[in-house]
Amino acid sequence: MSSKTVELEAQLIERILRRREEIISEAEKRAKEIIEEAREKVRKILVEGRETQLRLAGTDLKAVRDRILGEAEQEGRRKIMEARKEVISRVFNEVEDRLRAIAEGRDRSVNYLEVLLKLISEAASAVGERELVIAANERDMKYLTRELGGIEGAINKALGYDVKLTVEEEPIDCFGGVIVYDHPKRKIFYNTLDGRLLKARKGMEAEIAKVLGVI
Amino acid sequence: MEVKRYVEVSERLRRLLDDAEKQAKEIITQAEERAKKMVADVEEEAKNMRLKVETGEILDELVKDAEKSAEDEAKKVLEEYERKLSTLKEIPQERVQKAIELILRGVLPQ
Repeated sequence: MSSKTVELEAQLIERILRRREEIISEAEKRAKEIIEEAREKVRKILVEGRETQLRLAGTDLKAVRDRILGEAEQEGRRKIMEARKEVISRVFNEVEDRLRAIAEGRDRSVNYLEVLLKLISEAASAVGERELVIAANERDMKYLTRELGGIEGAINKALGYDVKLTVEEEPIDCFGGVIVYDHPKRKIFYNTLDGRLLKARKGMEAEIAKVLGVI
Repeated sequence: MEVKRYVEVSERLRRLLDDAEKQAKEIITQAEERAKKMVADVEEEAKNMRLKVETGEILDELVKDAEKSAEDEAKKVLEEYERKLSTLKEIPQERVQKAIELILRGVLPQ
């Protein structure tokens, strides 16, 4: 056998072995693809299965979700409402302190005696009788009793007609302002600072919340 | 003599390639069978999943999952409210003063 023939034979064997490896390698590659495709299909089937479960149990699951989220929303809103109420209460408490200070003469930024006259005048006008009784707290009652003549004159001037005022001997429990009524107590006008603050609180809460930016 | 040897070698090489083809087919067949089984198993599982809901067997589990997911969402909802709460507690003093003056104007006779 010539050396050339041996060389040709070796080349042929090498080519065939390479081809053999290629055939196996291609088959392995294809097998991997087949398994990967199957895995993808498995994933899809499982997802669809889960979706089917959720669809079938949908109403129950929605009820659970709505309940839990509803409770959280409710709790959150309750906390906000409480905080808002607390903030507004704090402001009204500060106003009450200011009013007490004004009525007791500790806060001189407002002339309380002028306020008192206006409150009496407003109440007298509302009652609309010529003989009136004024009830006030102990401190104001003493002042009104002492200055009754002057006060009556000022009220007459403000009203544009004459009224006869008397001061109730029993003090009322309030931090300022008056209650005015006719003698038979058929017409009573409550014009205490306490009452006016309470009325303001009922009527102004929304407005105050807006000013505070807590709406 | 050389021709005979050539024929023998050729024959061996042809068998080698035939074996490789057979082996390749076997690899692919095995993969196909495995894939077929994987899909069949999961199809069966999906069928059972549906059945479990229909019979109510898995409902508790699904409800638990839904609860867990809703609780996570609820936590976020509450966190958002807490954030709003903290801003509520930090009202600028000038706004508070403005509110006080407004109320005083409403309470005191003008």
